Amino acid sequence: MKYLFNISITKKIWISLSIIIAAYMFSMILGTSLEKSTELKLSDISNDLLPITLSSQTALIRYTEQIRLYNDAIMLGEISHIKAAYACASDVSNALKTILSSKCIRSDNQLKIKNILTTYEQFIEDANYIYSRMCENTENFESENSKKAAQLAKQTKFLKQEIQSLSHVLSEDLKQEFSDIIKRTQSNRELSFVVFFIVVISVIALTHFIISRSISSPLKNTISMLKDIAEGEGNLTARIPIENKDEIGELSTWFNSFIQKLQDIITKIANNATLLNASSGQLSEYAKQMIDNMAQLTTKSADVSYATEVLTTNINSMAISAEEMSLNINSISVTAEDIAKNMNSAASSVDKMSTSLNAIGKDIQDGQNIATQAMDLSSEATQNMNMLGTAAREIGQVTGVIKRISVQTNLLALNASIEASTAGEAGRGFAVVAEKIKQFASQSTRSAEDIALKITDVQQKTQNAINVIEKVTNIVEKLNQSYASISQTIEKQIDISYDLSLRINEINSGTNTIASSISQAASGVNEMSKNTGGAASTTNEFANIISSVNSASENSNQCAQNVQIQATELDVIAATLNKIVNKFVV
Amino acid sequence: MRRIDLKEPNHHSKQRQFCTFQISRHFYGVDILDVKEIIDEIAITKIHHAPEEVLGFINIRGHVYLVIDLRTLLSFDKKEIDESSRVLLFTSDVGEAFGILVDNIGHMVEVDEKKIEFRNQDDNQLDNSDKRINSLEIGACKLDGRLLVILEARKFLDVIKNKDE
Repeated sequence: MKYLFNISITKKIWISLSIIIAAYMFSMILGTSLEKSTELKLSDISNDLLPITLSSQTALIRYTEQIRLYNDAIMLGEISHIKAAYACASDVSNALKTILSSKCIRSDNQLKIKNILTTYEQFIEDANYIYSRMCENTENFESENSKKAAQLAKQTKFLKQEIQSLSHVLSEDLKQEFSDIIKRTQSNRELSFVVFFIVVISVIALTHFIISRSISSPLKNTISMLKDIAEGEGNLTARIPIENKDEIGELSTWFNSFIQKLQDIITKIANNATLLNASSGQLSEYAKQMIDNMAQLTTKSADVSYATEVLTTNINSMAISAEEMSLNINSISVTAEDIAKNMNSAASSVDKMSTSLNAIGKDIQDGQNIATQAMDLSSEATQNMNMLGTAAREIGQVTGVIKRISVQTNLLALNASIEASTAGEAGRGFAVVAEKIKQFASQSTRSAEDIALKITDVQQKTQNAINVIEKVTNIVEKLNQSYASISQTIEKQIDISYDLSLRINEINSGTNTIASSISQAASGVNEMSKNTGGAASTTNEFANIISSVNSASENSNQCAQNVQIQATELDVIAATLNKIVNKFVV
Repeated sequence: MRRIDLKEPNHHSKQRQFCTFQISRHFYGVDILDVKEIIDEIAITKIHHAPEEVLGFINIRGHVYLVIDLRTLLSFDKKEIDESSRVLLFTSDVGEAFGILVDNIGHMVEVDEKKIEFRNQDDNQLDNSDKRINSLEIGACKLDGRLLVILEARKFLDVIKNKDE
């Protein structure tokens, strides 16, 4: 039974089919065997019983014919009839012998037939003899053979009876056999029907049992399990129980291993989702840091860009200067020969220049002195202005006093007017005086206020003047410094021009070589100019690169912000994923 | 409305003179005939256990005057004495020697009596504080867009006494 469940479904179906076929074969064999026995019986009948019966019938007919022929012979007295009767008698005897030689004859019948045969042979000889004598000698016959004839007639009757009974017995036997066969056939049919019915029912039951036990119920179990997994709450710990080792068992095994792998994967996903969640949080933080860094980088690169621009401008101006220098050198080179020619006049010019420079130096010295004086004067002016401010403040204080006095006067006038009122008519004049005093007091108050305002104005203007003087002082100081530096430069120039005038003679001799050197220098300067131009373009490129770096860093900043956004989104996604994964039971 | 009878009728029956002063932004006046003098040197000697309206004594040329804080009397907030503060001293006709402290002194104004609207003195329905002010403020008159409230100097001491009782 265990083995039956462990074989494959195809084999199970084959087993069921073979059971059906076997049952069919069984019923077929049963039917065939039953038919075979009937056939044997029938062949027995056709081989033995039927020929015997026919022989007995033939014997009876020939015998009757023999008797008739004997009678005809006696009547007609012809010997030929007796001979024909003899032939009939041999036929009868042969038929009887045939019956006797048959196997299926019963022993009592056999004995009976032997008796008949013996009697018949005797009868034939007697009859042959008597009837032939009767035909030849009819006058003597009656006397001699009347007894024998009577005996013969007796025998004839006996034989006839015997042969008739024999043929009757045989035909009865045949009938009996046939009825037996019919009965047996009927019983066989019923038996085979019952057997077929039983076999069909048992085969159906067995097949149903096999299919339901080994195919349907495991399939149903598997399906319900799959349904549970599919419709349930994603419980991945559930497994399909494996009952058999057939295809369903295999299917369950592989499905279980699939679920196992799925469970592993979901577990890994869950772990990774948690990690992802944490990582995305970190990523978000890093992105924030990156944004900060990028912002710093952007400012730095902007600084660099600015610096580079300045550098570019400088280099450009340098390039321009170099070009100018180149041009100048070229013109120098061109004019160097002229210089050589004009050196003598240059020498005198240098002398003139030297004297001019001396004059300039003197003038500058004067200017410096004047500037120093101006500085002194301006500091004096500042002092005076400060004093003016102080004086104005003092005047302000005086106006305060004036104000207070006028208030007092006002009070005094009020008291006077009160007194005047109390005095009645006598105080009228006094009241007028008091009123005048009051007016005077209020006028003084107004004037004092006016003065105070003006004093404030004066103070402010004084302060402005002080500021202006300070500025003037600064300018004069700068002027002084400039004068000093100019003076120094001029002194140096004077020295240089002195040296120049000394060396001009030496130069004069070397001017020619200088001229050639200057042309070389010109070419060198040209190269330098080119190089500077190259440097300028390189610097420009560098500036472009820096600005592109700047824009790139801005882009990076943007990217970093995007990264942060993405990280935030990733965070959300990781959380969602975590949620989804947590739906599974693993 | 009824006219108050003055004890000393003015010679010019139609014209009256008032000494004006300010408390806060309000404009007040007292009859000039009641005023003895206005002083600006305010050196007050405090009196302990005196009513809160009484600031203390002041010595003017050997005479001692009682000084009343008009702000407190008229239920204004208190204010420190400053350079514009003045004390009005009243004549001996008004009462025993006293004066009032005011924020600011004004001018002497002369007003036609017809322009003054005197108050009804019926004050049965008023509470204590309002009664006091009611008895002090005897009338008002309009002056160049400003309202001059006229106070009765003779009532100041009475009001303080009544309150103490």
